[in-house]
Amino acid sequence: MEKALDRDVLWSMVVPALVVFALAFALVVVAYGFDDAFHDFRHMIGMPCH
Amino acid sequence: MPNNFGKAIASGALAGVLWGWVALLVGSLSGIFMLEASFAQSIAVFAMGGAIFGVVATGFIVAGLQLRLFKRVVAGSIVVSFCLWLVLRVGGAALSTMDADRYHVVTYETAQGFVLALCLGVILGLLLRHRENNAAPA
Repeated sequence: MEKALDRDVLWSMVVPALVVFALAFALVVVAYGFDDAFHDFRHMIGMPCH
Repeated sequence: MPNNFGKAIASGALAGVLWGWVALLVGSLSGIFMLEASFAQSIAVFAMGGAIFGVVATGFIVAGLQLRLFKRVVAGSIVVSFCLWLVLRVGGAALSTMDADRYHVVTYETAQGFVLALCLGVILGLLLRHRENNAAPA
């Protein structure tokens, strides 16, 4: 029972939190183009780009 | 707000994909920036970029709801989306002062980005509220 609860917490809270944390870094990379792939996207959402 | 954080994140990703395509459509219609990649490639890129933006915004929205920083999902989503965009934009301005050649600012694009950030908030808020209403017992 306790193990099932732990697994539930893991999948409903911990994993999504880690996903958000990882994608926050990805968002910074995408927004500033920290090395072409997201060049047009950056322009469209108003981020400085050349 | 969805009780399950994971389901909220999935909603955020879906809202982000929709927003990415809205951004592509708005950008194509406004003509403020002409696409350099093909439209087919842009559909995939904007979906991916939008999903990343949507998931991160959802993380902050869920945190804001848990901390009771706001009560209304749609209003909170708009505020969070705008603040997230603003933080990135301010960071971009800082980068622009350091390397103006690589990061130069275009005012019209910034204005479009501001409007799109508000759009993301609306799409996210409506989707999260829809999830909440469906999850609630009748």
